[in-house]
Amino acid sequence: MLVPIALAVSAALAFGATAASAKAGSGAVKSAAKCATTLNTALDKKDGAGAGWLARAIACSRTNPMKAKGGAVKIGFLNPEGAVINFPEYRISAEAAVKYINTELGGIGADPATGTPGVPIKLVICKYNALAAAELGNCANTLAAAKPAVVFASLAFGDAHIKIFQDTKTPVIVGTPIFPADFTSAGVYAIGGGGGCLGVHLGLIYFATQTLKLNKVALPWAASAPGIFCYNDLEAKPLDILAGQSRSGAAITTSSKLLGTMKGLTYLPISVPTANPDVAAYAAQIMAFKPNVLVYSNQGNLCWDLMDKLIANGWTTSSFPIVFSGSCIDTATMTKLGSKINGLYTIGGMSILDPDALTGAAKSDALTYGTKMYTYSSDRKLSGTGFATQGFSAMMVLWQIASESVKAGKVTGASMVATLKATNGHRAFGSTGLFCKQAIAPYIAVCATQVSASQWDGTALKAVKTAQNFSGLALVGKGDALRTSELK
Amino acid sequence: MSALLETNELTVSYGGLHANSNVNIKAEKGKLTGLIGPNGAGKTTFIDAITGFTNVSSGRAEFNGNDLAGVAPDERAKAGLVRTFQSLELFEDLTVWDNLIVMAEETKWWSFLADIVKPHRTLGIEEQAEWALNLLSLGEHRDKLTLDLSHGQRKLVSVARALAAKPSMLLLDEPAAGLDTVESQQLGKHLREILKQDISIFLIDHDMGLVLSVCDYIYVLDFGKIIAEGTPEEVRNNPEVKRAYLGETAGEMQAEGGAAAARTLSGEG
Amino acid sequence: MKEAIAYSIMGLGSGGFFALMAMGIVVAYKGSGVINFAHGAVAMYVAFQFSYLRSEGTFHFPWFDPLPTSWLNLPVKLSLHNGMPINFWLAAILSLLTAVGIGAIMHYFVFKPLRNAAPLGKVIGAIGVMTYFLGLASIQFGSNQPQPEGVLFPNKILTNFLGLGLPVTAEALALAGVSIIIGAVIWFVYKYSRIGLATRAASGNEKGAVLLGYSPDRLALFNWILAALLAGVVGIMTGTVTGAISVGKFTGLIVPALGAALIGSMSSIPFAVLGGLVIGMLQTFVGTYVSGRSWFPAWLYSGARDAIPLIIIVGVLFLKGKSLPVRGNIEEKRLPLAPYPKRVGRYVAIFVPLGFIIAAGMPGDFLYSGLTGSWGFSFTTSLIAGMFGLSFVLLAGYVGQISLVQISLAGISAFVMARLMSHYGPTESTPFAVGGPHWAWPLAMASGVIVAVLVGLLLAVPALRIRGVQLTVVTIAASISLYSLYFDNPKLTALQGGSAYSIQPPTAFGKKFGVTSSSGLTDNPRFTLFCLLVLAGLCVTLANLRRGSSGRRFLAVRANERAAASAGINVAKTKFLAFGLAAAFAGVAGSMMAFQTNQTAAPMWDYGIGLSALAFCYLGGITSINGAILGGMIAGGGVVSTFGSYHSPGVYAYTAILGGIGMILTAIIHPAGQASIFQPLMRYFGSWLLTARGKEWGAVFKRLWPFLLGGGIWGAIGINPWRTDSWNRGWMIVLGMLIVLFVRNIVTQVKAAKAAAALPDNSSLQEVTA
Repeated sequence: MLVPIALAVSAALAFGATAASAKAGSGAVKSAAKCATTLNTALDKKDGAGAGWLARAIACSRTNPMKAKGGAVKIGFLNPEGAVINFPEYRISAEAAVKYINTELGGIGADPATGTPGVPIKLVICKYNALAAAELGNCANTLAAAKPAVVFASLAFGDAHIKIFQDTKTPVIVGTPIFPADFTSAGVYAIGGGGGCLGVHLGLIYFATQTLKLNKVALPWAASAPGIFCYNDLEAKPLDILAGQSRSGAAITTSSKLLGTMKGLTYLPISVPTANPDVAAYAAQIMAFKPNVLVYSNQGNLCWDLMDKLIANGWTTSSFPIVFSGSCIDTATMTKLGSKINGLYTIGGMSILDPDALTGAAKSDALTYGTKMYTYSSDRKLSGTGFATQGFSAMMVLWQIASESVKAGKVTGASMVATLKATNGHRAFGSTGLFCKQAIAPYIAVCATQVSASQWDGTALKAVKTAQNFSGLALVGKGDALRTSELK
Repeated sequence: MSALLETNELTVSYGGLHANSNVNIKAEKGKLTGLIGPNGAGKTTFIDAITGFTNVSSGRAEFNGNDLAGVAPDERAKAGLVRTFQSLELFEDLTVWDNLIVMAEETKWWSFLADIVKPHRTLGIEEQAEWALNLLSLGEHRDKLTLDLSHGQRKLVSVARALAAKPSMLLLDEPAAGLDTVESQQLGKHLREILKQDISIFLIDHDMGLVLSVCDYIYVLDFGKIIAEGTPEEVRNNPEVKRAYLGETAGEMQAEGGAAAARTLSGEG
Repeated sequence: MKEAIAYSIMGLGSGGFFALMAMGIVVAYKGSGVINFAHGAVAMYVAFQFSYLRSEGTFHFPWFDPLPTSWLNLPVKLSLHNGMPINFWLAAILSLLTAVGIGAIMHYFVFKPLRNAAPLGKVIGAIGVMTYFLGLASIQFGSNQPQPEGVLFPNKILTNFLGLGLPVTAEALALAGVSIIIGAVIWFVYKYSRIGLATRAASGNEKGAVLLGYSPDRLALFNWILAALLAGVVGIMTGTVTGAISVGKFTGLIVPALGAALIGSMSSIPFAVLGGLVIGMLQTFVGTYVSGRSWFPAWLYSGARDAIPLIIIVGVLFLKGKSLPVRGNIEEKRLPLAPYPKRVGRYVAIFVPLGFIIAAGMPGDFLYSGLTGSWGFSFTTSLIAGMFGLSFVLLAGYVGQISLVQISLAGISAFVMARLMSHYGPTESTPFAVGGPHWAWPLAMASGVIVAVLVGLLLAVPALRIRGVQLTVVTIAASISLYSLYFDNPKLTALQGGSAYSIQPPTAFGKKFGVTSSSGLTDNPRFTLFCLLVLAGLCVTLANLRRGSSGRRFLAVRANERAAASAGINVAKTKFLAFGLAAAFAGVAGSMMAFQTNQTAAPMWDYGIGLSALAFCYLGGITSINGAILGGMIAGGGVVSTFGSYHSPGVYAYTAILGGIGMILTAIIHPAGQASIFQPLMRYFGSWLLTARGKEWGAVFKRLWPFLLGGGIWGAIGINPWRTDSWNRGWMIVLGMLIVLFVRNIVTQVKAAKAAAALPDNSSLQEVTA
């Protein structure tokens, strides 16, 4: 926990000079200086559509920071902040991003070339206690009634809000999709990198079976509400499809022909209870299965609980490769384990917490995140988590999309949605890009399913060159025949 | 059997301890039968055994010629064998009137449906409850909560409640405990009146005065065993009884107007 | 076979953990008769304390800073070592001292004042403490999930343990060993030390302890500190066995621990330890070995493990029957009186239209723009919470049975209704839809309620043999088991991975009565009316039950089961009736909840939600119908919380802490709940409104005008002047007046209560007045 914070702070300190100049520069807004940096369209080819625009906007904000002016575009913000399910960092980082956008980037639709400021973003925030079902509904009503252009749902526990937004024709942008409705509802766009468990879990299976080409999979899964869904639909089912069988015994009519079937593929599902104090027995079960690969996704340290027990049960780096999801990453714990987990893979969206581990556009995003969170965050302690980066990035992406949709006239929810819908490999701040156009049924809401693999070298996570920006979406299978046949 | 209530070698034991051993009692119809004994003699255990609140280890009890073994307490009450408690155990959330009604009413499985439609329907038992209320001069307290009454009044309510069921036998557990002389005498008068209503009474008390003055026939219990029985006159002159009482307490036994003795002895736990 | 044994032995880690937890629960129960639901939360807090001391040398105080100022603050933490970790032993001692402090605080501020409270009051007190610590930990530690430090031989493995062919971690064996050793020490203390003897004497009969020369308070303090210390041991020692620390940690594990404590009859330490070890072994055995067998039914896959505590608890209770001790106190207070409902018809005639006007007649904008939409919705939330509260009033308030399974019954009703109403199966655009027979909603709703009643009756069977706090434990175990066996079991619900049944709006006379209005917001006045009518119907039903023969029998059973039996009342049948009816009330509320959210999914029926619903109902007043309605008003997401969070957004993060304190204070100061404060106001307000003439109004104004003026001015400048969007709302003036009048009413009542308390007691008060 401490390491990412330290990294973020040191990054912020390294760029302290920039932040200072930004403050000094804000006085210069009045003179509306034109920014000399030109649009580098070559970046669009390299990093995706809109990359050149983003690079220039950020560069210009350093030399010619601009304050947004005029009537604000309202964005609803729905965030769980209760006693047990509590993610204030998601909101705090989003607020920081909006301050950055409004005071330095010139707001939505600013044109640095002419020094014309755009309109500011106004966040309409509603916090809810995820343990009181009615509060989510209250927030949905409050936000819908405020008539924002779009509503951003950071991570929603429950899905009662979605129908209200659909009925009031309020587009929903989801940060981290968790519940099935986040993935499958019309009028919903999940922009978070890795697409929640859709991208990540498919990525885990894809990486283990297609990249590593291993066929005896230990498959522990988190027995919690999202965990069950992610396991059943996005791990067990793709494996069944690859193995050429369904558990009900019914024939698969339209299995994924994209990847073919793997002979001899077996797997051992193990539901890891969230309410069981000792997971050692599950680790023992895994070891007894003698797999040639293990894939696992859970919340943060719950992954390392199992890892500890695997090590206790005799797992070594030479036993079999372990593939964890990005949500497991905890630099502090991993540093403690050090070389004991050498070679461990992680699959996930991009992480912008550690600029030193990144290159190119990602590195620049990480540096922007570190410095701007240092300047604008109301609680700097909370900067070092994945959810904090997602809150910041999401606002940046919404700003990108809104600014682009300005070209067609006034910014409305409809114009933003139209822009969003058309994205196909669009550059997105802090993540691997938007592919809303490629979303397939039934997961029509997910815009970002590309994931990348990294590998732990004893001190840091290094990108696996052969497995960057891939998607396991092909494993879903068109029409999703398997689940329907099992249901009947 | 001619007796309304009869026990035959009734024994109640807790672990190795015999709270009642081989108790034989007959309570005749239309009579006021008394059971006296010093503190801890097993009187309350006996009433608990008769009314089904404690398990009988051996022997049997019959009511109206029917064996009581295996009959649930509420069924015994419905059969006409109704008791009071020394600790009163009134229903505190109910008014005096409702305390009586709850005792008197007969419910069917569909009663709750009838309640939902018409909670205040006539139950056909009002007259009986009214009678019990008036008999014990509780008319003015009819709509009060029992919590708002004095201890003496609550005692009367507990008797009235038992009477409201129109029992064929009323078992009274220490009704005089805590009453003063006047109240105690009043109670005695009420008991004779109750007898006239075709209700037999089985009275348990250690207030010798009350028991000796009102009962037709008396049993004396000590250490769980019947040590004497007979008419009040016979019991009064029984040396065993004198020893049992005097051996236990330093106080002197007053055969008549024994309220003072009652106070000394009251508080059996 | 070897494998089966080996997997059972692996469960000793969990088992040791449950054993340690169970010991703490038993100790607290012996000391004060409280089933301490907060035990896990205390262990969690100490685990965080230890972890922060070891990682950054910060010591946290178990309180929060209530001062709104930035310049004056109550210290909430100390940095002991400039952000550097401190020594293991020092950290452990400081953490255990924290536990001791928490134990003492719990004794002095919560359970000592509650010593003679009714069992339900103690349950609420414990839930209050739990809520407080959950809220406190989320403020102090946020969403951090530190990895705990291994204390007992971490990462040691015994390969091929006992020749069983499988490895067992040394930690699991060590933890089981530690739990046995600590158990032996505590057993020894109780058996041979003077204070232990006194505790044992006291748990039979407090008089006994007094005779031994110990005040019950000192004994309770000793036992609370011992219990908290045990929680501290769990927080520190179970380290890597239990894994990452989070705010919700341990709280969910309280049920298996309670099961273990019940195996020890809440009094025997050796049996509690044994019970914990057995539950841990069985859970692990079933979760790994058994559920891996091919013959194991798939529909049990998600639930068997979690049902083990319930099976064991129910089994133990049936074997032991009535022998479970109910602690004897010198004086145990009863539940507050259940008032006789009067003028029910008039209430309904006045408050249904009034409610409709307030909720639906006034557009949300009239209040303030911030509440548009959420106003109507939160009003229906309150009404439905009120319906649900009525099931507690019937069961706990009238019959004295504390059941925590009501939320599951509500859920069963909603699920059955949803399943029967559903129509088409999955399509391309609705991949998670569940197909069904498409019944009309009244039929489906009735069926749902009937199924809920049947399940409720089934669950009433254990209630016939046990009562009070034991029933609480059984029902909470039942609720958790139902969650994993049914609600969260796709094989039975056909809900894939946490998806929801979607529910069509109810229709009548060709009109939709669903919650969604034409604007798309869920504030349809017709649905509000629907809720008002259903609530009124349930209230009249319950009031009539209370006033009729059933109510008399309920209250007779509540007052004294022996006396009730002697009155010819069949106690078992009466309890069955109450459980069945309460299940019906819960079922109706559940179906209405499903209509209100247009869908229903498993998380709506979690036991934690049931606990908080019970707590709100208790705050409102669990023995009266008004109490349930008031409890609904203050329930989470209801009107009061919506109003409140609008006017005081800064307080939002403190909701749980303040809620916990509110529960504790209500249980101590005002067990009859807030409704009793409103009672006189409500009793006369309605009819007064209809009959008052100019003279009466004039008299009232003469008496109250300073309050009305003051409140009006306060409202005019905005209740919270910083909420600028509330400035120009006429309604604010009325709200200001209402709040001031309400506060005045409370002050008057408290004064009156104090004056009454100054007199010796109730009965003598009567005599004096007579």
